[in-house]
Amino acid sequence: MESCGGELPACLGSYTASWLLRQMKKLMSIDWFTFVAQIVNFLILVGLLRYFLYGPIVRTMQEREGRVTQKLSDAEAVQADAEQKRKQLEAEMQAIEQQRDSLLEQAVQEADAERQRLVRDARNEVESRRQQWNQAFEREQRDLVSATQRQIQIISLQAAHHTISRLSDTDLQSQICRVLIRQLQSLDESARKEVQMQLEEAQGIVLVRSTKQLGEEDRQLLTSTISQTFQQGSDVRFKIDESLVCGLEIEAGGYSLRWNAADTLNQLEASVV
Amino acid sequence: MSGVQITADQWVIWQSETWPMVRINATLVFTWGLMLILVVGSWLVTRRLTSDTAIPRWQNLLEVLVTGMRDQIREVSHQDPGVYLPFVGTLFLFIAVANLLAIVPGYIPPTGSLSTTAALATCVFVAVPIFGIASQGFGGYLKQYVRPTPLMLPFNVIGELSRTLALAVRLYGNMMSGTVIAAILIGFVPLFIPILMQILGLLTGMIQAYIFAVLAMVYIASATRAAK
Repeated sequence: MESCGGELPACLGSYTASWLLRQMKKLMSIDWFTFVAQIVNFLILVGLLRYFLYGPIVRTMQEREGRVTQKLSDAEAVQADAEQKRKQLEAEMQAIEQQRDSLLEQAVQEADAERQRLVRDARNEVESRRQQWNQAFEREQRDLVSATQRQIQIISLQAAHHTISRLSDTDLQSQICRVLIRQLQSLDESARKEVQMQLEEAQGIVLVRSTKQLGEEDRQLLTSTISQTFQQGSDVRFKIDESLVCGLEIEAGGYSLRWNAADTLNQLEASVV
Repeated sequence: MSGVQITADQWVIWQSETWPMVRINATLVFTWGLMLILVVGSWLVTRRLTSDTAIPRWQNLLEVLVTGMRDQIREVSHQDPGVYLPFVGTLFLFIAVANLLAIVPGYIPPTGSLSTTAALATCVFVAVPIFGIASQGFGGYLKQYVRPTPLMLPFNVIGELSRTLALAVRLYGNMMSGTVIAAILIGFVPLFIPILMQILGLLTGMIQAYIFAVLAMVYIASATRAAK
C-alpha cells in the first residue's frame, strides 16, 4: 500500500483512485501473444467451419432447393399437361355432346319419318287391301252372278234340250228334212259347184246324220234331191247321231248343210258364256 | 485485482520459462474449447446431412442459422453471400457462442478480453481491404479513400482505424462490463440479482454478436459495393 500523509478519508480516496487506475490499466492492456494466437485461432476456425459447416449446409440446401425447383417445375409441367388434357377432354366432351345431340335429333327425325312412312305404308296397304278386297268381292259377286246366270242358262238349255229331244219325233224330223231339201234346192250355182268339187274329192259319198231313223219316203226324197242337185249316182249314207238332239246334217266332202237343235243350243250356250 | 479475475487474460494456465511472453491463459483455452464445440458440433450434424424435405432437428437448426446469416449478408451487401459467409458467419457464431456460454459457471467469455476483441477487429480490419481489392482491384479500392475529395483522405484513414478500435472496444466493453457487474453484484447481493444480470448479459451478448457481424459486413460491403 502506498504511503499516505494526509487524513484518513483523503487517504482512502487516493487509494481507491490508484486501485481503479491500476485495474483499468490491467483491463485495457492487450496481451500480444493472446492477440496473435486469437487471430490464428479465428482464421483456423473460419477454415474449419467453412469445411464442416457452411460448405455442407449450403450444398445441401442448394441441392434441396434444386430438387424442390425441379419438382415444382415438374409439377407445373404436369399441371400444364393436365390442364391441356382437361381442355382437350372438355372439347372432346363438348364435341361428343354436340354429336350426340345431332345424332339424337337425326334419330328422332328419322324415327318420325319412319313412323310417318310406316303409317303411310300401313294406310296404303290397308287401302290396297281394301281395294283388293273390294275388287275380289266384286269379282266374286260378278262370278257368283255369272255362275248363277250360267247355271240358270245351262239349266234352261238343258230343259230346252230335254224338251226339244222329248218333242222331236218322226214328223218333226220329216219337217226338218223338207226344210233341208228346200235349202238344197235353193243353193246358188257357185255353192253347188263347190259342193260338187268337194263330192268328187270325197268320191261321191254323202253322209246324212239324223237323231232318229228317217222314214223311207224321206230317204228317197233326200237321195233324189241330192242326186239332182249335185251329182248323179252319189252314194248317200244314213247314220243315227243322237248328239244332234233334234235335226239333220248333210255332209258332202267338206261341205256341211244342217239344221239341228244341238247347233242352236250350242250357239245359245256360247253366246251365254 | 486480488482474488477476482475479470478478464481471462489474467488467468495464466501455463507459461514458458524460455519465453515468458508465451503463456497459455484461460482466454486461449476457452477459445479452443469453443472452437472444439463449434467444429465437433458442426461435424456431428453435417456428417449425415439429408436433402430431403424432412430433416433432423440439429440440421434444421444449422440450416436456420446459415440461412439467416446468408439473408442478413445479402440484405446488407446486396450481393451473393457465398464469399462472405465463412468470415462473417464465423464472427457471429464465435462471438454468440462465446457469450452464450457465460451461463456456465467458471467460464469467462474470451470476448471479455481486449486481446480477443482486438484480434477479431484486426481480422475485420484486414479482411475489408482484401475483399475490397478482390472485388474492385487495388486501384479501385484505394480510390475510395480520396472520395469525395482527396481532402478526405486523412479522415477516411482515421475513420478506418477508429472504427476498428470501436469494434474491438465496443464488444470488449460490453462483455467485460457484464462480467465486472456480475462479479461486483455477487459480492453485494448474491441472490436473484446476479441471475437477472446474467440473463441481461446473454441478451447483450447476442446483440453484440449481431452488431459485430453486421458492422463487419457493412464495412466489407462499403469496400466492395462501389464495383457492384
